[in-house]
Amino acid sequence: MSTDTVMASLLLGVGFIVLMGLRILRGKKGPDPMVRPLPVFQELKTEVGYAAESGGGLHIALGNGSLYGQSAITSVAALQLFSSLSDTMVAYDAPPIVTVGDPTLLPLAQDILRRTYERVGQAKLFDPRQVWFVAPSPVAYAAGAAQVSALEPISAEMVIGDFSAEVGFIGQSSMRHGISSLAAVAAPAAIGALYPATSRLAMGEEMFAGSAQVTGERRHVLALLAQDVLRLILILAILTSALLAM
Amino acid sequence: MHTALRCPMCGTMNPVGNVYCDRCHARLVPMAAAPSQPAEPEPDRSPIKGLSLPTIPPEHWQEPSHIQPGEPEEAPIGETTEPQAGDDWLTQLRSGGVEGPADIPAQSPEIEFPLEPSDEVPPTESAESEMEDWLAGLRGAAKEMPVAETEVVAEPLEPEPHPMDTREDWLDQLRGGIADEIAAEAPSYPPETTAAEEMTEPVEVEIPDWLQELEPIIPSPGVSPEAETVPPVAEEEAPALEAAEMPDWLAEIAAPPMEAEVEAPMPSVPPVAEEEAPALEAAEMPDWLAEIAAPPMEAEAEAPLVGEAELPTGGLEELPDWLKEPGIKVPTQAAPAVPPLVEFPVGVEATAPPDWLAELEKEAEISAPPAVPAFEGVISPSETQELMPAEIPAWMEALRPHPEAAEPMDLEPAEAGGVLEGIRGALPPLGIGIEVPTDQPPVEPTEEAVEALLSRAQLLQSLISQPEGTPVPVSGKREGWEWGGRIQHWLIMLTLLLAVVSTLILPQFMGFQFPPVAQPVDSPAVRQMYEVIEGFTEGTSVVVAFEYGPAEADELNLVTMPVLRHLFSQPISVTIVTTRPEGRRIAESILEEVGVADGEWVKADYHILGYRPGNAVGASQLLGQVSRDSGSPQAVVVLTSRVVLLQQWIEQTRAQFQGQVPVLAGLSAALEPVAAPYWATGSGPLRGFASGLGGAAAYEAASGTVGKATERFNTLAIFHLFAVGTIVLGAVVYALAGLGRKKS
Amino acid sequence: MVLASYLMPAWGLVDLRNRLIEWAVIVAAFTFMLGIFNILQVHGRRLSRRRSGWFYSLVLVVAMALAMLPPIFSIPLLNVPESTWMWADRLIFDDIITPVGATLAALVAFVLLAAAFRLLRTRHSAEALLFLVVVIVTLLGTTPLVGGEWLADVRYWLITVPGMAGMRGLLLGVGLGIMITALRVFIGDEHPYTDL
Repeated sequence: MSTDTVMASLLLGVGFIVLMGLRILRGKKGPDPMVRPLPVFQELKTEVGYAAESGGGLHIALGNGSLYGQSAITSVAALQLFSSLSDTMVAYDAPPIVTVGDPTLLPLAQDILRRTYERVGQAKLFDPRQVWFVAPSPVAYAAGAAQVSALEPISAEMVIGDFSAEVGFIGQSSMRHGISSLAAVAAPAAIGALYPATSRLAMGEEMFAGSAQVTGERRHVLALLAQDVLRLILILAILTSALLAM
Repeated sequence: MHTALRCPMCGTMNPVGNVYCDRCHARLVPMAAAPSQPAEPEPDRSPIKGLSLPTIPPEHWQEPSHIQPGEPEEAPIGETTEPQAGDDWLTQLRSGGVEGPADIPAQSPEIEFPLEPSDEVPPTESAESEMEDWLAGLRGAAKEMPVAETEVVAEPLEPEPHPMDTREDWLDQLRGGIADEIAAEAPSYPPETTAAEEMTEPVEVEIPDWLQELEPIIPSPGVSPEAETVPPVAEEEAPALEAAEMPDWLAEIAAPPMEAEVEAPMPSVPPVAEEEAPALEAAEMPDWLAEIAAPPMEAEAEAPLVGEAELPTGGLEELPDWLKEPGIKVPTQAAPAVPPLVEFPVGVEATAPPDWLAELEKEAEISAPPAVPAFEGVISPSETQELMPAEIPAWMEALRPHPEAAEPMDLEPAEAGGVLEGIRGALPPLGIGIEVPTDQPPVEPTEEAVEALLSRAQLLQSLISQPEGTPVPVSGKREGWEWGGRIQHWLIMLTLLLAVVSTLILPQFMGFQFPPVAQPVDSPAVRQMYEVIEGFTEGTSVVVAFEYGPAEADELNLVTMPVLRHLFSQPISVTIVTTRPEGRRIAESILEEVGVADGEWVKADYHILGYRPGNAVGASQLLGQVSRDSGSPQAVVVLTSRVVLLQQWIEQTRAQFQGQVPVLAGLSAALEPVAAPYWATGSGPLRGFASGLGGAAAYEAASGTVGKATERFNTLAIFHLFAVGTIVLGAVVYALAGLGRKKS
Repeated sequence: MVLASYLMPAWGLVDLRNRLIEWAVIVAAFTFMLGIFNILQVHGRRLSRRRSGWFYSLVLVVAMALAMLPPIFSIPLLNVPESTWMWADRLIFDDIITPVGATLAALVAFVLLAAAFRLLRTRHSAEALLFLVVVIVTLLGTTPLVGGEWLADVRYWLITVPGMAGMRGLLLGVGLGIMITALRVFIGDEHPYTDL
């Protein structure tokens, strides 16, 4: 077994232990862990309400990430955040338009939306065409998603998922049409492209805090806590190795 | 003796003169004459299909199997399986061969008059069959009856308010009074029965003998004759009431109407039993009836009571024998055979009708007299044609429910189909999904309200007529895009256009070269990459992954070409792979442009392994296949513009070859910050990379060639210069604007 | 099983892993068909209802149909000359798709520049100013002007020291988040698609 495999296994094991330990110890008892509020997620529900009041909808851009690639978990996190938002959107009668850049995200996004409509008892209102597969190419997807804000009655835009620099198309379009834009991306190029376009931006690992911030569910918050614990462990390991190397 | 007609529907006892039941308004007297021959039961006659109509003939009332689907499996109103005790006269009818319905509808709970128990209460089957014949006869004639009459008769079982209910209460009082008086003056009633206390409804009338022998009238088609006809009343064994029992006022009232010549359609005589029973002897007629019948028979009765219309009114020589028998005084004219409603005191002379009654007679509309029924065995069909319809008094005629008056009852049209075909009022009007609030007071809209309602209706109509799912388009410009923004965009575009045109296009047309303003930067990463490739020995296997598409081709081709030229100038084996669908096409294009096919400088051999989907999984599979085919590669060159693709190749290569195989990369300029950690000054998994036009130019400079990257580097420098200037300008403008806003 | 095969490449787990991965890849490839149907549904509805932008939907549908022709013509059963469908393929790919894609990519630069131009309008802070300074230095350092080679060194320092540090932190954090999310998926705690 190579060093990389050993390190990966070790990290996975530690992560599993930390996560399960937190779930056991703080799963159903104890005070709620503190979570640093992120403006982008705190204002998400407000934007949904504004969209409902204005009669417009929301545009959720889930990016180009596929479910079998490097960005699979990033896409899963994006879907989780979308799922957390969908209940609010459907309840407020602010139907979303979801755009995906990979066809593997298409049925999942449709399923999330369909279940949401079923939960609120409005299954007949679900339209699978609310989820758009725009294009497999990242640049073409960004250009197509940017057109949503131009052609559809959109009040707010949410960019979540795996993007690159071409996400600037979406940000520019929303800025041009006066649409409120929120973003949660992990790629540095996307961060740089969206930083000038919107002030409500979640960068890097903050994207994985979306579900906890929106839903406030304990299991999501505990996952964030597990990340913090692992980060602390990693920092200690780096410092220790650096000191030992000196 | 009883002087009332039992309703076949609800069992209510009605006065003899009633045509329709007071409670349920079912027709008491059939309208049509029965055929002379006994009619066979209509096997194919389908009863009226309805939920509340008496669709079952009397002989089938006790047979649930005959109940039509949809009908409530319940007996008609008033029906009971057990005949009431005390139906003496009815029982006598049965026992004497006078057939009636097999199961007499039980009297309603409101009817409480003493009915003597009868030993022959349960009708026998023979009685049923006998009754069926005369009933069948009635049916046959009923076919010829008009539908209107049928519909009038075919009323729901449930008693509905009848306009006739609003008639004067005097008739009810009269009835009740008579009943009281009869009950009080009838010592023949069993002592245990307190008729005065129990009787609240008209007393059951005993059908006289002459009436019993009359052939029952055939009912209208579609209606069971048994529903129309009153079941034959049983003979009463009680001694007849004395004539003195009739109150004077009633006698005075009853006498004149009998004298009037009123040709009113009389309700049919309650169907009597088949003429198997021999003619009743005169002695069988109760005394009171005989006494009652005498004065009216002697008088010139114009309005005969119930049953008189069906009576033969021909000459004495045409009268049946039983009527000619002594003791029975047959009226010379329209014989009011049916005893009057009240008993006339003996000796009371008939007086002239009062003025009010005469006026009623004039005002009363006389409808066509019903056809004279042909009573089996009593009157031949030929004789029925000569019989004149009996006359009913004007006051009674005025009480006749007219079809027009009955029309308001029929608020709903007849059912067009289904089990309720032809029936009216069977079902309540179906709602159309709109719940009309009943507790709201009626609103009288004003003109303004009408206009408001109209505009609202128009708005609703426009909304409803919109296609489903059509979002309302946002009209007008949205906030955020003002003229300032447009100007800024135009300004930026012009700046960039100027930069590109001045350095790329103008020199070609103007014939001059723009002086170089920048030099390529010698990047350590680029240098290291060059050194790795330069160090490939003969037979080295290299994997080249084309991980970009047409959109990135313009930038990455500038980076790919110098790297490929360097690679193909080495005596190595190149395997081209891709995990992008368009990667193979890009590879073929760039290879053609580089000229690896026919260039003499080409020393490497290559083959295109192809496309493998699955991103990281595909990369892993491709690397495994290369290892199996040609051994472990010495290097992997990744050409991409996406971070994830670079990461996946780095990770899969390290995982598959445990870090022994270096990864080289040709990247987009945007990936340089991401690739730097992997390069980590040469100690990381990424052994070198060239990013963007600058990196390509640096690679060309390192390889000593001048390619497109070097040619366009100057353009890139000028573009950067203009871009920096634009950014600085924007920063200054908005910074000052922001400061001004803060001050204000 | 796939993860276990990486940790313990024995007991035939590697072959099982490869087989499972192949199946997953095949299923993922079929999702492209779903995507095509979805495109036809969405743009077909826009076309049928003549909603705003219906012309672009028409162009998309027509272009998609045309782009499918060369691969269809390449089917041997159709007996289309190779030169014909290759010519069509090259025409569509090299002369239409590639230039259009390059145009879109070029627009990215314009869009980013426009966004940078308005940065101080949306973010009026020192952080935004620092962002602009770094952008300027990076641009000038990538193509250092004559006499401004020191900017290239500054750029190199920015990328390799603070940039790399920040990037590593970012990648580590993202990696941790990915790992925790993946663990939650493994233990069934992450279920965005069910109501359980």
